[in-house]
Amino acid sequence: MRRFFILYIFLLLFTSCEDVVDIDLNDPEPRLVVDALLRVDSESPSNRVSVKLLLSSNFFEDNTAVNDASVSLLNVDTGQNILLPAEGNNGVYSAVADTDVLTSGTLELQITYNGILYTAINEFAPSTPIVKLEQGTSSLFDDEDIEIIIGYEDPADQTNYYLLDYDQGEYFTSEDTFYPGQYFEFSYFHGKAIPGDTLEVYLLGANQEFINYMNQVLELSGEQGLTPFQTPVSAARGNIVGPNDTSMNFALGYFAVLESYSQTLIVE
Amino acid sequence: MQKVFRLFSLILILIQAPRIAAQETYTISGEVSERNTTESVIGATILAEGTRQGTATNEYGFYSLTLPKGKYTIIISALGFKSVSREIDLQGNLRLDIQLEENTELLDEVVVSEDTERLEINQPQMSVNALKSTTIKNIPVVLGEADVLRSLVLLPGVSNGGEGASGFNVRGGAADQNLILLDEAIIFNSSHLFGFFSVFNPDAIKDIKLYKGGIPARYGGRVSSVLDIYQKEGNKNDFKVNGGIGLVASRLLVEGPITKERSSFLLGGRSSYAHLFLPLFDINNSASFYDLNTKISFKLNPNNNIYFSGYFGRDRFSIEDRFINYYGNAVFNFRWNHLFSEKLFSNLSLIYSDYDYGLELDFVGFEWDSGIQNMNLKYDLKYYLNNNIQINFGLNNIYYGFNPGKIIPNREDSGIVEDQLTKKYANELAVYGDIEQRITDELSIQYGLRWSHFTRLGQDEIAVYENDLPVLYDPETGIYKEAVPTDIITGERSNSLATFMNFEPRFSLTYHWDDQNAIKASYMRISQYLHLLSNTSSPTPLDVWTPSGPFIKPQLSDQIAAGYFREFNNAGLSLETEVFYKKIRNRIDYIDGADLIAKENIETVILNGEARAYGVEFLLRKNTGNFKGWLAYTLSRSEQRTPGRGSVDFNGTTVEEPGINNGQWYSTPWDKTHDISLYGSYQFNRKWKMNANFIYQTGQPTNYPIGQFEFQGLSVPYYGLRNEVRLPDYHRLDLSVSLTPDKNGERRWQGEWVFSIYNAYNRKNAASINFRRNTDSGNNEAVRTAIFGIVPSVTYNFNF
Repeated sequence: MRRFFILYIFLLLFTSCEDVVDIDLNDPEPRLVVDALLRVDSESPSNRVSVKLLLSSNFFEDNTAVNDASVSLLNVDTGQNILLPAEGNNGVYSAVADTDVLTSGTLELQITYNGILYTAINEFAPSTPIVKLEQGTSSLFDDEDIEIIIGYEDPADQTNYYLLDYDQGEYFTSEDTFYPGQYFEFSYFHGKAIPGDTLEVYLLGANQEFINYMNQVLELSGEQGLTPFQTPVSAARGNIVGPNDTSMNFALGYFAVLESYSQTLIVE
Repeated sequence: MQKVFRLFSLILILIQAPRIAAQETYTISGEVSERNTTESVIGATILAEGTRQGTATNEYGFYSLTLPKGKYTIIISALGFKSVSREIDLQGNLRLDIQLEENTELLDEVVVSEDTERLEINQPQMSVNALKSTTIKNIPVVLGEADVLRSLVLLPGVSNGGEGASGFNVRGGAADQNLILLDEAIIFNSSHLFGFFSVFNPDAIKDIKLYKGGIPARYGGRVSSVLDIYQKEGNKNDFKVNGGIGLVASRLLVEGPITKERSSFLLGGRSSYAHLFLPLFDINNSASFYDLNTKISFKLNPNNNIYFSGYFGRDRFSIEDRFINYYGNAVFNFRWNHLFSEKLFSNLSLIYSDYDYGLELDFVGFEWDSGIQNMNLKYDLKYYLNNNIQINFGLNNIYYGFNPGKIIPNREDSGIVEDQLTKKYANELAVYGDIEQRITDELSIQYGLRWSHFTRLGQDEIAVYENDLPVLYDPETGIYKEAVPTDIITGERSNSLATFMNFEPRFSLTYHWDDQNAIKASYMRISQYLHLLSNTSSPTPLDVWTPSGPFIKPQLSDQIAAGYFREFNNAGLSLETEVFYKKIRNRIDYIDGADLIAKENIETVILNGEARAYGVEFLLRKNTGNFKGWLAYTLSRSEQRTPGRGSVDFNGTTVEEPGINNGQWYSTPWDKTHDISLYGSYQFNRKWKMNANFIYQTGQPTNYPIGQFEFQGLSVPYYGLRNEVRLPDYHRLDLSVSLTPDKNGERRWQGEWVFSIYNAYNRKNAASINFRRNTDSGNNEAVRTAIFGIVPSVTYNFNF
């Protein structure tokens, strides 16, 4: 071989890859939206439970509040019924319930709106206390991200699902398939928090169906990051059941009763 | 079975029928190779002048031609080579090895005899596109890296998901329906860097053929296409080096004799520069890939050739060592060409291939490892019965081991418990026979039958479901749900879980009423036993291949195609038009919200559906002269549907299952109504050459939300029926100029500069439009992602 030389030429001119575009979307037929994740602190004798009712909208507009529905929560096993009156004009309905009513038996949410009855059934999903919550110093994709390290003891001999609420609309789902009965610790990279923020972090219990729903919701909302690929789409059907004959005009949202443990973290 | 028997009787009759009256005949046989490189020449034609007797070389450069005894002028020609003629006096079987010289007279018309073109039109094989490695190197591509897959998508009936999407789609088929063969070995992942480059090193490639329909019986296992790639054998005379230095990667290929004229080696490497590629993603970390192609060829004697070859490719992607991702193919291959007689050619291949995918997530504390191994035995024979009949037959057995995933804690304090998802095993056996027959001077047919047999072997843990239904329909909420296994039983490897068997008839014919015009038609049935599980529009390396089994049926495709072919001798032009219709049974689809990652029982999120595609293709090609190129146009439609499985009882009333997308047909994500590609290459003089492509495609189907709801502080867009709207149309112009400096002259070192501009008018073609809430403004917005704007680049190629 004769002389071998290397030419290193750098002429890379990448143009930016993302921009906001105008898309015309048709106005949908509004659907009832039920945001009913009841977070239950099982160590407290009673809990304030609240449900939010909205009407869905065009993607570029805001949902409108539904204030004229009647909402109640029934413990099917004990027959105890709790009425949730509307708080005001924000679509929120709430009441204080004894913790025992929430943590045992089958619970049914009943909503009557426009003369139509919507129901949903679920059971209390247990969680586990947060053992460790601290801020880390590393980052992953973005230097601005805040590393949050959480640790908890997964209960043995049962399958657990968790929804982690990191505040400011950031969530993470986990199941104990690969850490059954272990102390488990991992990092989450918070994209919105800035130093000085106080984050209320929740470790919520869940079941498999709810976790599947939550994964869909997170994926649809783009919270899991954008990819060059199109997001798998879905109608995001939850567990709210309307009248039989309106299967294509079902209510959106989800009803679940989640055991909740929380801690606060001040971002430095 | 009766049908099959009848088919065989028919075949026997057809073989017997055109026996020519007894006359003493002898066979000329041999190998055709290129003089300088000693590479065998595939598809060279061998003709006896003045007769209509001729043949073509096979994938290993071998030919066999039987003629009545007497004197002949034999003409050997191949596109891009000077034709050679030999006077022979045939008084016995004759071995005639021919060396062709490359036609380097760039400014002269390449002389291709009329007879050659007649022969092409003569062959029943249709729906096939061939690309030479030189063409691939001319086609301007992003970042100046010559690329096989990027070139293929310029052909009619072939498209892909756009920039940054790996794989390709043939005639409306999915990317996992392409059989990709590199020196006869199956390649599972064809892309580097998440789809920006393909795994094939263009310097090491000799010949590429893409079968889109009328696939001969010797191929099977994927329902849409066969991409058959042969690598070079290595130069048996001279030591040669060639390479290139580009913006993203550099490559070097060394070849030469081990023993002159008897054996050769080839060693090719390609490697990207780490850190170069990621500003694209606003990440300051590393992504890199490399490939290694190796080959040793031995010519033991005129009747025996042996080849050892290996391919090893790796991608590595890491973010500050906290997230590491690597994947790649490794292939080892032994082949033995043996001539039993001047009429019977055989090739035995033993192939081991391994696809490996790994992931390390330090911030969660685990490593993930998954992969597929397969052992492949192939024995293919070709018998040149007489000049009118060639018989191909053989068998193929593949043993697969699938590792869906193993999770391992990566450090002491990790809470992760080591776990192995149940490994899966399968065996695929196929036997085929295929006959190419010339019935009259005008009519030739090819007919064959492939019998395939697939066994899903036993595995450690098998999930059992109530009523054998792994997916449940909940009529109350109207959604499909995963069933919970009622039991997990342990299985022995020797007990098969499911077996499938399919007869796959193949048929094609050509009728050419003169030397320039032909009509062709074909029918094929192919089965596919492996499925790629992916719910993105194009495959990612994380996608998992899964074998058919108790809950996943093999895909079964029927395709018919017909076409009109014309050669315009004087202008060096050819026109190919084809129509096709294909239908695929048992195409899997995913229930809404299916999560495919690290899933132990994948059958709980899958329903069996069907797919269909139809269309028309035009290809006008100019192969000779200073201006070469083609215009390809495809008008097509590709759809799938997954109807419900029947009715279920709900509170005493019967409710029909809706299926996916309400059981309606919907466009596949790669459906493109119009697809136009224009490629041209103009040689101004010895120094300058210019190449250009223009592509126009209907935008890919996508989804816009039909509404939005707020849930737990999130804005959630929701969707109606699938793939009802389309992205804006895609179009793009690429240009390149290559400069061969004058000072190259007669010196040994030959250099070439290639300057290219990808997406010359900087169109922001949407790869996707996603809907999200802007975290700064709090407003909802539609965001278009365009991967490449205008990208200029420079590459320097050399050889000595």
